[in-house]
Amino acid sequence: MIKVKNIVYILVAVLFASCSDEFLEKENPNALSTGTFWKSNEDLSYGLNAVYKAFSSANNIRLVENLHRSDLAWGNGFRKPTTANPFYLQTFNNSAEAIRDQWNQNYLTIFRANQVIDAANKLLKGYETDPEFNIADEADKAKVAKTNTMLAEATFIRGYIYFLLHNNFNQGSVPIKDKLPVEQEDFFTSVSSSEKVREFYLKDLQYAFEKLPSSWDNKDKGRVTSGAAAALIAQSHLYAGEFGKAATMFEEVMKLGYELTEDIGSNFTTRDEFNKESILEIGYTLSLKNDLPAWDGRDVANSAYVRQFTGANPGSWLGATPASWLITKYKSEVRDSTDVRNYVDRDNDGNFDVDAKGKNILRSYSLRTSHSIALVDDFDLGYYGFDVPGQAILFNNNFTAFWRKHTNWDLGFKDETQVSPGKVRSGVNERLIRLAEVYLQYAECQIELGSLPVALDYINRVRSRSGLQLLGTKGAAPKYDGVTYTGASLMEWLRNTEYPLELSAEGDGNRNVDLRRWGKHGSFATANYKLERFKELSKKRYISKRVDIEMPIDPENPLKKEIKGRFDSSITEAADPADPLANEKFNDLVIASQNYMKEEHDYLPIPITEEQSNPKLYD
Amino acid sequence: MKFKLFESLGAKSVLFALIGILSFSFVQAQTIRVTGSVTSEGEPLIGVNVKVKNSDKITISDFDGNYEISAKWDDVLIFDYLGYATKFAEIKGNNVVNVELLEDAAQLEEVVVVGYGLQTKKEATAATVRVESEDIKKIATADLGAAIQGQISGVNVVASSGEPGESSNVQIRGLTSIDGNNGPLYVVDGIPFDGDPKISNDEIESIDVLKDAASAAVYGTRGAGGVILITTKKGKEGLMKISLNSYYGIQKITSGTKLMNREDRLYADFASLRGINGTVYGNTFTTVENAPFSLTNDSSLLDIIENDNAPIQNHNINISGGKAGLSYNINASAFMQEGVIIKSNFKRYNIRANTQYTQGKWKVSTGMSSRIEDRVIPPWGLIREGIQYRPLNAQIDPESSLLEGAGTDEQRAQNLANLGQRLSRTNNSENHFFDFSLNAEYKILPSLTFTSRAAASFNNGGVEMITPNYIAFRDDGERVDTPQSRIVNRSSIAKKTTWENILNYRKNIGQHTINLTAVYSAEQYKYSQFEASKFDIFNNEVTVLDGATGESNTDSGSRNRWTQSRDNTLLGALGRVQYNYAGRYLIGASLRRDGSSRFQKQPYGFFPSVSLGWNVSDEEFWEPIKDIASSLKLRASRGTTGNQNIKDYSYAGIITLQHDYIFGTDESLAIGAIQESFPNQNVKWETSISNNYGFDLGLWKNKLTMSLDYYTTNKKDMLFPVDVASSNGGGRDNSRITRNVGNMTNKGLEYAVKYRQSSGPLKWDVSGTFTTNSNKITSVSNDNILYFPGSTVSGHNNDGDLVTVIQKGYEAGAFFLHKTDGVVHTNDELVEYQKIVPSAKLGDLRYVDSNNDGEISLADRTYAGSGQPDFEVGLNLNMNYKSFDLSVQMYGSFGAEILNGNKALAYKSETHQDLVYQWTPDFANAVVPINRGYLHQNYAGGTDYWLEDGSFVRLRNVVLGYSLNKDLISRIGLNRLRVYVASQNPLTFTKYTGYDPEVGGNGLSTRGIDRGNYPVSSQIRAGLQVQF
Repeated sequence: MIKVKNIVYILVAVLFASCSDEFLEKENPNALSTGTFWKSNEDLSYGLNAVYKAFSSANNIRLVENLHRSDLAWGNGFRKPTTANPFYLQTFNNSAEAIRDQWNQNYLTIFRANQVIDAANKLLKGYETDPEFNIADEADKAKVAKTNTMLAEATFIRGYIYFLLHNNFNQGSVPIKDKLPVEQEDFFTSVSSSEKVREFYLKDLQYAFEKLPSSWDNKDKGRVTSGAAAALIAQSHLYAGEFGKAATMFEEVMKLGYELTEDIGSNFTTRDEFNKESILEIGYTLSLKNDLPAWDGRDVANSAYVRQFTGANPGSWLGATPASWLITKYKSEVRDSTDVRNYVDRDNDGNFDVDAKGKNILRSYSLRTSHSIALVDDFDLGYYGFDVPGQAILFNNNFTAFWRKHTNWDLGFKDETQVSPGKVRSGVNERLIRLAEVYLQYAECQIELGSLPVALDYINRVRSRSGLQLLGTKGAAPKYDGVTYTGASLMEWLRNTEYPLELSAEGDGNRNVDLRRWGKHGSFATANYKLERFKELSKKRYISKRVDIEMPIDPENPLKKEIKGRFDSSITEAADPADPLANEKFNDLVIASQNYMKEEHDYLPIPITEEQSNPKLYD
Repeated sequence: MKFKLFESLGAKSVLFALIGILSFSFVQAQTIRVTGSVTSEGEPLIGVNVKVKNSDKITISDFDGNYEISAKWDDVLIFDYLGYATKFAEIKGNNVVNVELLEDAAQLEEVVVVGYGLQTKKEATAATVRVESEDIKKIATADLGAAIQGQISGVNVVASSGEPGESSNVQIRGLTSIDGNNGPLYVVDGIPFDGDPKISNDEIESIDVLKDAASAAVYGTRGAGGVILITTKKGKEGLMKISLNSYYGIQKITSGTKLMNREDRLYADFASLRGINGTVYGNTFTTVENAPFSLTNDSSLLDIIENDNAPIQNHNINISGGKAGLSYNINASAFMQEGVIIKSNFKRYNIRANTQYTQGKWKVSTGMSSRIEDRVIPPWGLIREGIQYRPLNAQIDPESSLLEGAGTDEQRAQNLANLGQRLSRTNNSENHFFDFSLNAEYKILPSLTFTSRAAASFNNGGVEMITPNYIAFRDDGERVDTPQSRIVNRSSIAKKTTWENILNYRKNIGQHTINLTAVYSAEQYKYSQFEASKFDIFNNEVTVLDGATGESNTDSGSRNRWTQSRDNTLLGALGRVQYNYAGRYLIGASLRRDGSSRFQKQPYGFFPSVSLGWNVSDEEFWEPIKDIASSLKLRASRGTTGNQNIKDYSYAGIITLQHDYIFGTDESLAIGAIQESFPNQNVKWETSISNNYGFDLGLWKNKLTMSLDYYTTNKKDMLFPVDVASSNGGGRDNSRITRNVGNMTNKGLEYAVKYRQSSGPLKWDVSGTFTTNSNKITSVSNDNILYFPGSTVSGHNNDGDLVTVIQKGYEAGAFFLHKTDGVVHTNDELVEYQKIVPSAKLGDLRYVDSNNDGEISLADRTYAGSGQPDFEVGLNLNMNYKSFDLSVQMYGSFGAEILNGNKALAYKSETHQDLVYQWTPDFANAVVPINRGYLHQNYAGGTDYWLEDGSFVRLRNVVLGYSLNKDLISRIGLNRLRVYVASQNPLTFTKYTGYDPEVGGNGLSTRGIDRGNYPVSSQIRAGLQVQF
């Protein structure tokens, strides 16, 4: 019986053995835990790189939808008049995937920036309490400086994203997240007032402006700078109608040594990236991460825009093409006939109106036009390996122009699919702010402040770089247009000629901010500006024409050519809207001007996904 | 004789070698040969176990009911036969012992399996239900859930999809947790499994379902969803029995979504453009105008992807027998099902060998089972693509990697080419499962038993995904740029080990029976995977990794929570007391303590239970009515169970890599690492406390039996993956966090009734089940309405509109929708409506401003039912007349709502036939709102426009069988030969207009949303059953 008893005791001991806690402790084998990270400047730099990565996502801006919402672009897909594009038609609502993606990405970037800001502050505190830390020591001093710079970089990015959120969403009223969510209630944040949001990001940008260097070594180009912070602060003032403050801040930017590039074409393709004109720029490259599948978020190339903007087939998705009014405006830019850059030798012209074969002929279009958009009969700037854009693509089907910006037309490939076969990638950097924009915005401030000569000066700096006829009566024609500008007429020129022609389809899509604020701030504001503009543009009519293009047909013998007709590929504005020759298919914004309602379409709505997952959103 | 036939084949010795059990020989002394016959009501009984008491000698009766056995002259013979009362007969030196067995009417004596033990049904206090193998086999399916649908009250089974190899959603007593995993715990021969064990239905001897928390509480943390105990077939000592079962059938889709054809499309295109752009013919630019030859197309993708008359078949062999303390059962089966949608196929091969060995104080049993699953998985969202496909597109051939005439528009051509490439993609997975278990029982004392049980399961999986080179040309002959071809190979290993030690003490002292059980168990689950891929297949004929020439890629799946490596453990300790007095007063209590590695702060949880039972019919005062009411038992219980079904490592935030960026003019890579998702350090056990009251009543010698159960369950701290507001920065991929969000109650009534008529030539029984469950959220953290992640109606890219919610006072997963009030027809109506929706136009769908605040917002949504039925009814009828047998099964579900997501998708994609009848200025009385594009509120997901009544009654199964005359077949050595024809889902009565009212979804968040689900099909089949 004793034996049995022993067995029972042993069994009981085995049964309820309590050395079990270790058995239940499991470490995640897949990744580091947050508790063991963020211990050094090195960790901080990994985190900051990931912030830049988030910052580089094109979803922060959604330029294509921004263009559709503005007056600059035609919808998408087939050429006019058939489109179902809700942004172009001004029927978008809070269910749109594009709006959701933009919102999500903005806050994702902010979440990452907040992690770095939080970690940097903890590191700085840690130095204070570390007994071995000595600020007099060079190494330790450098360590603090490095932490501080990284803190400022992350703060800039957070500020910039809030600037975007404020510009785009819900009348500027969005939730402010300035710390990491831990407890349950941290996850539900109500919207703050537009003023609060502005105050918040201005503080971030001001901090960045004070702490960031104004430039970086070549190996660190692409990091944010004090100049970019100043430019954003200035833009914020401009958008709020604080023209004096804005002008002062723009002057701060201009003090920092930026210069316009000699050639405007330096700003749109892989040529001359991070140049002297660039103030804020996102870097992309084709040469790394080639092993990833298509559309992989880990890629360091830019896949968002290239197929939407390119006009070369195959591989052209026609996501955004210039509006008719913009095309005709580009086409009619007046070249400065005294500028030698406007003269070319050429031997290819199809049967274009002007007999333009020969030596020393005036360019078909201005340098700015040529580098901004591809026109069927631009004989002076090739496109995707062809001498004339009209050879490269079918300009039929009412397609008359494509933006060259964001594409790789200058690399010699026949189309974008050859740049990265089987994938959608591009190495073109995104220039978010460049000096020309600062000049023009500064000019706008000066018009508002009553200093027309200064305004003219800055506008003319931009024009002069591209060999355009200058504004005003300062010198003799033909270099100057001889017009005496008033505040109103110069403002009108700036709004609907200079800004769009210099900056169309660039940056963070601020044309929508402009169209909105011109109905609100300043001495030249007109009520419901955007709607009025839409209505005005919708009344314009255009005449389309066939262009014949000489096509090389034998690669062995480049001189052997045949004439190809490109139907309805060239448009001009009809002087009389009732002209029977007017082609209705080129009308701009007809339905949009009927659908647009300021209250609903001035800003993007907060996406329904946020509304549904954040019950405190509007509390 | 058949016995000799097989002996001469040496089958027996092969089997013995196979199972690797030693043979023992026994000394026999002073024996006599006893012969005799076993009969019942004059008919011989075949296969009766005849055993010599206190020895290992055993035999079974043959066809004529005769037996022969050697025994000592003073031995006692035991005659044992299922459904009959066991009879003891003393030999007293006689050489001939004939016995007559009596049918055992007292079915309550049958044994039921409970967690960690057995009980007679009379002793049981739990709400358990047993399903026998015969009932399971009636349905042709590889899925256990589908086989038990409608057979058990309180168990709700909904096919998640008709895709071959998919498991149903099984819900025991309503919702357990509002997390995605609502399923019960499966326990096979005592071993808990991680999810559905997917054993062949042929291997199953019986299924016992533990519905109430008191009985499930012994499984503590995993018992909240109820427990399904599966007992596999065991051999019986006696002659070797061989049986074969085979069936072959075909399946068919019986309904669909009405789509436009070419002519419809032409009309609708212009009608829509008029609505959207205000343009009319001449100033439009449609596909047809652009490419008039597209009029030669009248394509339909649905027609092509539907695979009518897809075969389904199953073949099974079972061999069992045993001798002197050793018994074995071997079961092998092959199941093959082609999907009713192309490119889906499922094959499963199971084999299981069970052996039991008893010697002295030891009883050892082993189970070995292996299973091979071979699955062809269809390209994702095939039905969705079918619905979105335009009739004017060129017809895609899913078998071809060439597409000509993809269209004129580059982006559309690209989309079509991408679709073509996706259809030509193959995705094959193969899984090899091995399960081993060893169960050793040692009787320390006659009343004290120690059992140790060890089991290991392995699942080795391999996936091969091939995206072939795909060539597509546009109408103008230009090649379309298609994604790179790619080969992906993935292999995974999952291991699960279990060790349980059980000490059991059972003693009868006079009228007192006491049963004590102590259990200690430890479990571990590990998973890891590895994936390699390579781009650019050299030639579509060679699809091994070396057959690709491009970049290669490898990863370990860490970036996805379902594929990440994981290791989780569970420790359990259980103590249980069961006591009864004279089998009349029953009481039981248990306490389980579980520890889980998934919870960091409080890894341990306690799960107590108590239950009471009273066999009223055993009382003396009952005697007068015992002739009518032969048995009555009252039961009551209360128990606590838990749920730990959350992702591993949810409690800790992690830093993920691969967020790299480039800096500098030389574009150098800077490595980035950051936290992307949100942890919840405070995540803790979900518990549910449940009360159960019920009775079992038998009338007229248990000819009519019924049982009724009423229960209430309170769920506390429900675990739920919450959609974190995107303003927190999780983005689209890391938007969820697992949180204990609130409390919920389930109340329900289950009623089962059965009537048996077993005398005379016509034997029949009819049984019915009735189940109702009402579910209510009693509190939600912060009193907020929570929308279920992923619960969009259409699944369209631009549909981010969630419709199912958790909201206090409503059932979990209730629909919250905008009420609508038809189409705006007149200008007066328009003016009125524009006061709340300023952008409204004629022909728009009118939303109701439910809260009267003058605008339409999320706050206007109101409760609109849910996918949960009010009640369900099952009806089973079995009849036997001479050699014929008939079984009919019906199932009805009432009161559930369905959101017709396929319709919504077809509207948004402009392919639904209704769009021919949309509002236009010329058809001003239309009830279909005008198409203003996929994003417009007219076709938005969150409205009651898509809501339909989901009630249905379905004839689930009809089987008509014929068994050949025994005399006839015994001449060719057969014991039984039955042929049958059956039809599954032949008739469905419903008002629902979509594919199938049995809308599965994932159990809760998408329950009731019919969104591109793989349709459930009807089938007919013929089968053969043979027994040697």
